[in-house]
Amino acid sequence: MTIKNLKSSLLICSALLLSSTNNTFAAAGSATMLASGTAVGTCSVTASAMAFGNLNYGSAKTTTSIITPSCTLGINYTVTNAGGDPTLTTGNGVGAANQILFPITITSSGSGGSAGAAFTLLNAANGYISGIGTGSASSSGLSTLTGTAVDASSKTIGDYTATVTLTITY
Amino acid sequence: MKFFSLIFLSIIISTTNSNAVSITPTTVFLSPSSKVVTVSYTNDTDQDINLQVKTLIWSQIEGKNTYKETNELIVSPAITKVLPGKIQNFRVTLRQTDIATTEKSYRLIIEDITTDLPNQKPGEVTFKFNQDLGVFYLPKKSAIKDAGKINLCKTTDPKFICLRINNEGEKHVLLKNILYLNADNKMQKMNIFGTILAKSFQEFVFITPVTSGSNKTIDVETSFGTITLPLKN
Repeated sequence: MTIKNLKSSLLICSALLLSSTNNTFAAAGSATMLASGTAVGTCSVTASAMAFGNLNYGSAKTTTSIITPSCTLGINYTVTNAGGDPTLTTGNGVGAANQILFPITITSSGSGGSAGAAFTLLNAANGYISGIGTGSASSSGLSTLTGTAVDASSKTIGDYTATVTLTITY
Repeated sequence: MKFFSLIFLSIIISTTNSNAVSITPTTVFLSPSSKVVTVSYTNDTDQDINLQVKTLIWSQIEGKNTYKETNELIVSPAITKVLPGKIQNFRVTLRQTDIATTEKSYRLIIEDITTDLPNQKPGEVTFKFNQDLGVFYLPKKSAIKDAGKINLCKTTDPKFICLRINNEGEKHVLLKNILYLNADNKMQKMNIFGTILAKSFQEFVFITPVTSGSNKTIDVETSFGTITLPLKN
């Protein structure tokens, strides 16, 4: 098939699609839905590590992580925290002395959710990140999370680490 | 010019894909002509990832999503380790197919159960991702046309709008977005999404948008097309 023929076919297909979708709904307020569509695609997601480094004695310490979803054009996604209070632990992690809480909030959410909302509970009212794939990791999909580690004064000396499991729902 | 564009593109790809996990497709469609579907999980991180699969029956009862563990959906392998830079394929199929006409819906959850993180530094929080995918099985093409209604529903607080999508058809409908003309006369996306399963309804409550001038309408984008609804103030 030549490029010209291909272009013509694409134009005809586009015209058919446009005419069918535009005629789908007859009136505002209530409508009957006809025709159908299928969307499959690819999504990749990255999250930079939230690096607190040396924790503060006498005050809280904040740091950030950037979540970068990159989905095929038109794919909807929602990122939620799988639940629980985020906690840095050392040693066996048992007991308050070996645990440092670091509540997470959404600092800026490029495509959905609410900036400033707690990102700590599964499906919290506004504590989620959502967006639509643009075909690339565009700036509109970037979201920043801020973690605030509480004062480490009364905690055991040692190396603290944590893992947070996020769920990306399509 | 093309040369520089290619360099720029390769920089973007190399930057965005580092340390990522990817999934394709993001929704699984099974049918009598497509009984087995492959879902590919790519590990582009620098460490092993251990995965475990969970399957749920997904229904919507009185507008609420309901999930129940099931063995109707078979996913193989159920547990696996994906090495850095490698792709793991999961085969998805139904244990038993039937001749019903209404689409069946499931959730396939691929959980990252990795516990050993050798590269994690002191004072560092590492993020892991579970993937939650919809799986749909349409037994056969229905003679009944896909049909449904989109209406505004009542809210107690006038600051909010309630949108009800009633899917009377045999397969699911996607709410892709809600748009309106903002005060600056620019089309604004509200980023409200959802899936309405076959023979089910969903209600979406959101803050009443501030529209421009006399144009008090919203555009509701669904997988069946777009409808314009008047906003009742």
